[in-house]
Parts: sequence; C-alpha cells; structure tokens
Amino acid sequence: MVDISIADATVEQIIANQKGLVAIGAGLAVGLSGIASGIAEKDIGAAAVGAMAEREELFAKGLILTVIPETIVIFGLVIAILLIFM
Amino acid sequence: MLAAKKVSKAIIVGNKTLLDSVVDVLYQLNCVHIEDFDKEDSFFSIGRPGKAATEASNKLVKLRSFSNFLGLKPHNPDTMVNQDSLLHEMDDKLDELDSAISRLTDKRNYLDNELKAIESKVVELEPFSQFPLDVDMYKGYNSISVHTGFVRSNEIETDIRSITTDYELFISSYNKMQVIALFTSKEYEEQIAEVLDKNGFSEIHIPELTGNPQQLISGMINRKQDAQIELASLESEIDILQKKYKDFVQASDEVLSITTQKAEAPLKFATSDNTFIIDCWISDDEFEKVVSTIEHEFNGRIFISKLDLEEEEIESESIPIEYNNPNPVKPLETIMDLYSRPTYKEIDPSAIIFITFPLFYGIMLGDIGYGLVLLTLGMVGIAKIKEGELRSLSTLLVYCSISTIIFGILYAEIFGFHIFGHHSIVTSLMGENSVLGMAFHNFSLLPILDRLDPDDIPILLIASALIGVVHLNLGFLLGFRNMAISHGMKEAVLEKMSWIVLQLGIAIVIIAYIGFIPQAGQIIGAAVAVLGLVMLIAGEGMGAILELPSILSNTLSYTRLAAVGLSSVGIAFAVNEIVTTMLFPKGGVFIIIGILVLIIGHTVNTVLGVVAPGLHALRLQYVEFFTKFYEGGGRKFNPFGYIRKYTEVK
Repeated sequence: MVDISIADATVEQIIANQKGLVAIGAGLAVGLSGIASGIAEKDIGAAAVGAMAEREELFAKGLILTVIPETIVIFGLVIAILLIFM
Repeated sequence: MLAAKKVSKAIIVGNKTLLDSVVDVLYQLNCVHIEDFDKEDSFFSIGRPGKAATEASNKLVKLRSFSNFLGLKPHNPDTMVNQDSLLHEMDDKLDELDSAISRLTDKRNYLDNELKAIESKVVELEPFSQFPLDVDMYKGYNSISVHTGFVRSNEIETDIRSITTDYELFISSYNKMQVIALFTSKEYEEQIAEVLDKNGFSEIHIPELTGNPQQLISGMINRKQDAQIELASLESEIDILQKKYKDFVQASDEVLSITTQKAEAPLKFATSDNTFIIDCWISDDEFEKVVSTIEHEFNGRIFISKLDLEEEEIESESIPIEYNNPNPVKPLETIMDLYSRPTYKEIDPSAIIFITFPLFYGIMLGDIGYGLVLLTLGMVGIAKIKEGELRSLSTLLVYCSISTIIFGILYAEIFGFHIFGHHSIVTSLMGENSVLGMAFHNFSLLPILDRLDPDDIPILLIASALIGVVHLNLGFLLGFRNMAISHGMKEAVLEKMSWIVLQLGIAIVIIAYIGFIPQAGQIIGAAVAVLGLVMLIAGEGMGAILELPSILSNTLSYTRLAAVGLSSVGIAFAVNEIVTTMLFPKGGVFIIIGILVLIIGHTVNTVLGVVAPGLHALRLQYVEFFTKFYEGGGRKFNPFGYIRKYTEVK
C-alpha cells in the first residue's frame, strides 16, 4: 500500500489518484446498472420463456419485452465511456 | 417489394362429378390458397373426403412407424421415383417391410427381455456366490426357516445366539453391506424376525434355479454375451433394411401424403347435393393462368369468378399474405415471420432490414477474422441445407459476414487483434525495430476508426447514435405512410409526424447551443419542439408525455452499435495484455498457462462476438424500428399443392 497524504503528494500522484477514482466510478456505473438490468430481465425472461413454451409465435414479443430493461445497462455503459474517454 | 403480393378473392363452382379433377388441377397449379368453408347458418354442407383418404392415411401411418423404427431421416435420393411404378409395387413392398420389421421387433423384444432377466438374476445371485451352498439348498425345508438378505452389521450372530444355539449362519461382506444366509428352527421364527428387523434386514429373493451359484452366474454371463452379439447382428440387419428401403419409404411417404391431401381437400369446400363451391385466394400475377387452365381443362363446365374486395376486408387481417420480394431479400422473410407477417395494406419492411440488419451486425462485430469464420459457416450451411429456415439463416449469415469483413477492414482488426498502429499484432510479434513491425506500426491509412483509440471512441458513439436517429426517423416516416393509408392524413401527421417535428426542434436547439447557428436558434428550436409536443398530445392524448423520454432512450439504445463491439475488443485486448505482459515474461510453466488463457479467452470471445451482435441487431429492428410503424398479424398465403421432391409423374 502506498500511503498518500494530500499535503505531501506530488501533482502526478494526485492525477493518478483521480484517474483511479474515475475508473472506479466507471466500473460502478457499468456494474451496478448491469446488475439492475439483470434483476429486471430475469423475471421477464422467465415469463417470456413460459409463454413461448405455450405458443411459439410469441418469440418476438417475448424478446422485445425481455430486452426492454437492457437500456439501463446501455446508459451505464455510455456514462462509463464518457467518464473514461471524455 | 415493400408490400405484400396483390391477391384476389375468387370462387370456383362446378358439378360434384368434376370435384376430383378440379382438385387435381388446383393441386398441380400450386398457387391457390383455399379458404376453409364455415358451415354456420349455411344451406351448404362441408364436403366429404374422397374414398382414397382412409386407405392412404392408414398406409401413411404404417409407413411412418416403419420410418421411425428404421431411424430414417430425409435424404436426397439418386433418382426420382416414378409414381406409377411406385404405386404398382407399393402394397407388396409394404407387406414385405411389415413382416421383416415385425420379425425384427419380436426378436429384439425377446432379446431385450432375456438380457433384463439375466441381469436381474445375476444381481440376486451374486451376493450368495461366496457361500458354499448350491442354490437349491436354500429352499424346501419343513422344520427349518431360511432368511437370505442384507443386514447392516456382522454383530447379528450374538443376537441370534441369545435366542438359540441351534442355527447355521453364513455371513460375508458384499458392497459395504453384510450378506447373510440364516438357517434356524421354525419354532424361533418370531424372535428371529425381531432380531433381523433390529439389524435392518432386507430380504433378497433367491431365484428358482439349481446348482452352484458361481457356475450359474458364469453360464448366465456367457448367455448374456451371446444375446448381445445377436442384438448387434440384429442392428446390422436393420441397417441393411434401412439402406434397401430408404428411397422407397421416402418416396411412398410423398405419394401417400399427396393422395391424402387431395382426398381430404373437399373438407374445405362447401357442397350441396350436386354442386361444390371453393372459396379461395389467388395472387393477381397468376389469376390469368388459373382461369385459362381451368377453362382449357373443363371447357366451361367449371365456373371461376373474381370477387370484389370490400374495404373492411382489406383493413382486416383476413387476407392471406404472400411476400413479394426479390430473391436476395427472401432470407429476411424468416426474420419477419419470427416477429409477425405484415398485413395487406402495411409496408413489408423485409427489403429495409435486408440493408440494416447486416449493416448493424457488421458495425458491431467488425472483424476480418470473425467475418471469414462466419462466411465459411454460412457457405457450408448454404451448400448443405437446401430449404427451410436454416437455409435462410445461413444466407443471412453470409450477408452479415460480408458486412463484418468490410467493417473489419475499416477497423483493421483480425480476431480481436489490431493489424496496424500502436497495438499492431504484427509489431508486437516481430518486435518494434524489425522492418515489418515498423511498417505495420507506422501505416496510417487504416484503421479509419480505431476501436482502441480514446479519441476515436466518442466518434464511434456519436456516429452510432446518429445512425439511430436516421433509423428511428425512417421508422416514423414508414409509420406516417401506414397511418395515412389506414387512418387518414390527420392522424398520420399528429401521431407520427409530430415525433419528427419534435426531434427537429431538439436538433435545432442543440445546433444553436453548440454555436453552428446564432444563439437565437435556441428559441426557434424550442418553439418547434413545443409545436411537435402539442401535435403529439393532440394526436395521442396526455399519455404521450410519458412516452417522451423514449426518444432519448431509443436513440441511446443505438450506442450499443459501438458498445457491443467495444466490449468484444476490450475482452480480446485484456486477454492479450494478460498473456503478453503478465504471464509470458515469467517463463516456465506460465507460458503454458498463458497459452491456455489465450485459447480459452479468444474462444469465449469468438462465441460471444458472433451471438451478441446477432441478437442486438435483431433487437434494434424489433424494438426500436418496428414499434414506430409495424403492426403485423397477417396470415400466411398457403397454396394448395406440393412441389414433388422425391417422385415424378410421367
């Protein structure tokens, strides 16, 4: 472990530190939103598969309903990319 | 293109004596969609199936059970079978097959049963093979009771001795259990039963045999081997039978199916005592052909007439839909059918997703290596599969692979590795100072977009969002067209055009904000956006406000075009980095681990890289694009007839 107290830190160390925090933030954005869409999709997916087992032509409707919460993780990803690259 | 084939409703009327010939002619034509006759409140009744139906369907059931027994799968025969000669010999051959198969089935059942019996006897006898007693000695005593079976522990003997000393006990361990054979006088039966119960006794029934158990078992094992050999020879007999009859079974199946379909056709017709009426749909391209064929075959004794469609009927989903697309677009019809067939007045978007689906796929995957793998897979699929959904999907795979290769060249990527520039695989393999390494490192024409370059990634993101805007507005325009035709211009403007006006307003605000046009543009843009919003509320009610954020989420959804690709590039890059910077430099066993990581990582990435873009490209069509204009729900145009594959008529 490197012990950095802000008063002693060089500019490079502070920048590196901030980069690390940005990376953690980006990771959290993708990870948490991924978990969120996972939780949302699991019930819909299960129901969609159930519906498809009864009527196969419901595939497209099932797919559409299942992927609706996926937008959440796309938002997370966009935020992460903005954080890292912009 | 862009619309279903034009069809007309028609009725065919004639004398019942001509019914069979009309069915033959229509079947031959294979372009008439026959509507089921609805008997409700009608003077007419449903036609009776032809005499051939029962016999043919009985034979068909028999034939399919044979085909099942022989394990036949559809195959391409060397020659087409002539229908007449097939029908001539069909009964004899069916009898032959029947007797051969029932003989084989009997024999197989007999052998199967024998094998099962032997196995169960061996299981019963084996525990007692260690005792020096013949099998017949366990039975037939008047004053002695015999207990054979398993107990939990070998301490049972002390328990027995406390009851009587007049006993004989054989005990030995078998499969972690104790097997016993206990002979006692019958007078202690109750106490002995208690002791046994206490020790968790479970009885084994000794089979009714005589002789030494070990010899019996070895005899049975010999018999078992013989039975297995017989079974194997039986299987080879089935193989021979399969080879001999596979063409016959397949061809007969086709002929009998055709016979049954024709014979059962009158079930769809309306009939009176002397006449029949067929209610049907015929595509406009082929109407003349049908009329002239019927005219020619029946000399005016059969009457065919086109009916005018009522407006309601055109609106409804009752008209059967036949796609009207050029051949290259046909594979996309599978994607359409997966969602829902278009209705008669709707735009059929097959031709549009013919462009956008492979385009999106290519943007996401964009890799020369993966593209070539997919191209090979697709080509193999096309060569092997002659028809059906899988063939369409193979063709689609070829389209997608071509687009993937084109974008792969633009991104200059091969199997996740970069060809040129800072991350060039050639440079890292050859060393930075080698001639080739330098050349690849410094080549600057490609990639046009570098998916590892922090400067290029925002460009990719914005470009994909812009593609989204274009795609979405194409959807709104198509929706405008559909709405204008089905509900009138006013609704179309209020419900669909309003979205475009709204977006235009937002776009003007953004452009003015960035500074491309004077700041006053912001106010104009806001005004335009508000106008769009008012139109939208007028068209769809206040609920439309809830839908407003969908504009943002739909557009952002297209950033997956960049994101899905980036994630696959990211995985490939991470795998390569782990291996080249962390594992390989350590040497020794780490080189082997590194190679393993490389193989596993890239295999997983390839599978993900192939599956994910397909699903996401599909989703962008179904969720973002179709919801703007498409309703679907059309019925399939299902012509009465059949294209012979295995048989021919002279």
